[in-house]
Amino acid sequence: MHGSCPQLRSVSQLPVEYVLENFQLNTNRANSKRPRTAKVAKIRRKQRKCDKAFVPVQPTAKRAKTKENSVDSNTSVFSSSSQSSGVSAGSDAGNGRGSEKQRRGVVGAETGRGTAENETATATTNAGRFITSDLIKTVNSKQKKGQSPLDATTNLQLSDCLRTVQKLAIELESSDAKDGSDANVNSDADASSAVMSETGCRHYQSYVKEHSYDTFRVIDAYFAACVNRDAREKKAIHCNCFECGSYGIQLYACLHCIYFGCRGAHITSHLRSKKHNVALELSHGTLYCYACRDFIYDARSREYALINRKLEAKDLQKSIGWQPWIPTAKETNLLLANARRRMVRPNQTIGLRGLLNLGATCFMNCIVQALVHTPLLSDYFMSDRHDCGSKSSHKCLVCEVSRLFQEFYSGSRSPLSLHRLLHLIWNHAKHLAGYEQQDAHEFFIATLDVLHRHCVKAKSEHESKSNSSGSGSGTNSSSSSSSHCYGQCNCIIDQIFTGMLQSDVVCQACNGVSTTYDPFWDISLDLGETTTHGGVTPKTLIDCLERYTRAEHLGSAAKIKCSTCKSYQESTKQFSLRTLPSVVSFHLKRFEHSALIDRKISSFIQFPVEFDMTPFMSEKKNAYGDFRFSLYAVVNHVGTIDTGHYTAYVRHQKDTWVKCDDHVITMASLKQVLDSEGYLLFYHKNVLEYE
Amino acid sequence: MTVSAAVDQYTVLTGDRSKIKDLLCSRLTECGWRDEVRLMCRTILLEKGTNNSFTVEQLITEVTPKARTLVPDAVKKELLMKIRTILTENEEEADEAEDEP
Repeated sequence: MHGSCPQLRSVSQLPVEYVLENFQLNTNRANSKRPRTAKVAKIRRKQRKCDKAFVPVQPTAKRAKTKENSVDSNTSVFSSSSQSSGVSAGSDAGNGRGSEKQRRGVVGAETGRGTAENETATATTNAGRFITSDLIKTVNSKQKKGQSPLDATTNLQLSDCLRTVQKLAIELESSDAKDGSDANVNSDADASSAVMSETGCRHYQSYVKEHSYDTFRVIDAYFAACVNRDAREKKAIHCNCFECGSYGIQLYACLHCIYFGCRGAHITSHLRSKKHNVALELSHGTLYCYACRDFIYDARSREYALINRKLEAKDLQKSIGWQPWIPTAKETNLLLANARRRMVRPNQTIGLRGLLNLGATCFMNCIVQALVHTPLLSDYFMSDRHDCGSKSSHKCLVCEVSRLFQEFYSGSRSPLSLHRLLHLIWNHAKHLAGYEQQDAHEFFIATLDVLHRHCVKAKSEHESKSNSSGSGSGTNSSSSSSSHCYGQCNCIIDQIFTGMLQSDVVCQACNGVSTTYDPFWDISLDLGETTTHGGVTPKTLIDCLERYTRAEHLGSAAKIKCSTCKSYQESTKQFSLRTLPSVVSFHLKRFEHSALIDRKISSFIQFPVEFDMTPFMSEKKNAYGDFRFSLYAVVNHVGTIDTGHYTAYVRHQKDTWVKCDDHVITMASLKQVLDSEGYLLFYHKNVLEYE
Repeated sequence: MTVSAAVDQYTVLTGDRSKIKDLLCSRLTECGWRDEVRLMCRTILLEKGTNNSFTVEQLITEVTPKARTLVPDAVKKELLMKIRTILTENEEEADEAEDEP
């Protein structure tokens, strides 16, 4: 649940699109279906193509064996090399000449284009000439030694492969330059490499001096991150352990000769016997030095590897996989300036703080505890993502919450006073002002609303500042913020808390369905007896939700004009969930206000720790989503409808629950949490979608 | 050729391998496995890293069995399902391709 930095970035960017996409559904439902099906069809088509190609894999593999004298996957290199070395040497001599010609062609082309490229590209062109002679030398020397029958063929390909990789990289660069988006990334990488100065070990340095980066680049592009279909094919056919023939979970490729071996004995015995040092781990593309007995990190190789990863992502139409966090120059300086580190261990209390009761403010305290323990919200605030105009920051609730997070995680154990937060709420949500007891649910909604408004305001101020720097458009910002229509917003509150409710009204006369969508922040559930289904009282949260999403007959008193048959008819109405937010909060309506009596319903409602919301979705058959949720906070009310006290159970760390009762924080068991009455239940999505 | 080798080859060829790998990586990060294993490595290094002869191989052999047991069943199940879907889709499409003249 706790995401690391790079992940976090993507999490908060993508749900936006996800949300937006679903808002567009609002306007045209039929339309939205099209792109998805088109995409599916495209993928299908692609797969089919692959399937067709897959059928002859076996024969090609066999052909490859005879034609290229490649190693049988089940026999060892050494046994087969003795029989085939003669043949391979002969055929290679011929092919070697051919490739030399080809290579010259490449060098020419490269130099022609060289001026347009940046530093790395010119470096390769300069090196190009050198490689030509160099490679042939290695081809020859290897033939003499007869190290491996695959050598010759793969060395032949090396030039072609290198050409492909370079060409692809250049294409990628130019397309990036057009977009202009990756310019920052590149400069970041440059800065970081300057700061980090990772140069591998001395063995790797001497390896690079002798062999250049080309072998690494090609092996990485073909066997670690397969940059195109050809590479995947080559990997599928050739890339298995030369010792045991397995396609192993972790294969290493020797960078001195052509040799694949499983992790452990297979690759190390090769490296030892051949006195080769550098190998590439193929599932993650990490360099390994046998002389150091360690993995090594080299900035330049990493750049090439990143290019290959980008190419792979582009070819497979996927997002680039997980990348290690490399601090930028700015981040490095920050880390150096703040030398003190705090490590979070299990059973640590960091992140927990009691809150003083300022006179019947327990309704606020319990909501603040629940909000502070919302993983996505803490990710947002702990990474300092809120950027407010400095002038109004004392008026901004988001800034105040941001400050609260700093206080919670400062390590201090003394209880905190929320007077500033309370004051801000009083100013912005007038109905909550005063020293009376308030409803925690009302406070929660009001807080989300104010946070949402302030996020929008901060963003529009920011935009107007950056758009017209210093033209004094302060007055415009307020108008633009009001034009932000509710729901189409990508502020952190809407990203985390906003879901979409679908209500279908079915006309009883013509069965015409009219569908409307409404955004929601929480789901309020009735606990009283049902009037229609024989007076059943719900006993579990699931019961409540089933009741909530059940088709409801609107009765003869409430006839609605049907848009299809243009007449007033009786109809049924049914709610379902169109989209779910990352955090779903359920409000159990324990306080009943009716004309006759105001009362609190204290009946026990069983609620689960984890549950799947799929049955309540509008599109149940949609297999794309994962709607599993986990409980992370429960707000309880003890007392009567007029007076009482609020406490909260929050999940502090995985499987650790604490009870927050104003300034007192105690450990709690899961049983205690589940046995509690429950007023507000907060559930967090288990799996965050990236699209 | 064994079944697993065939599956390996097929997934590598279609590029699904790399997508599955990405999925696994993100799931392991999401469920906290990554952090747990990192922490485990750290504690081991603090204990034994003082003598210079402690190598990364030793660390791997020590961590691997523990780290394997830490992988949540839900993650394993999801991955298995994913692979199964990919293979059945392939099967269906192979059938379709046969039906087509």
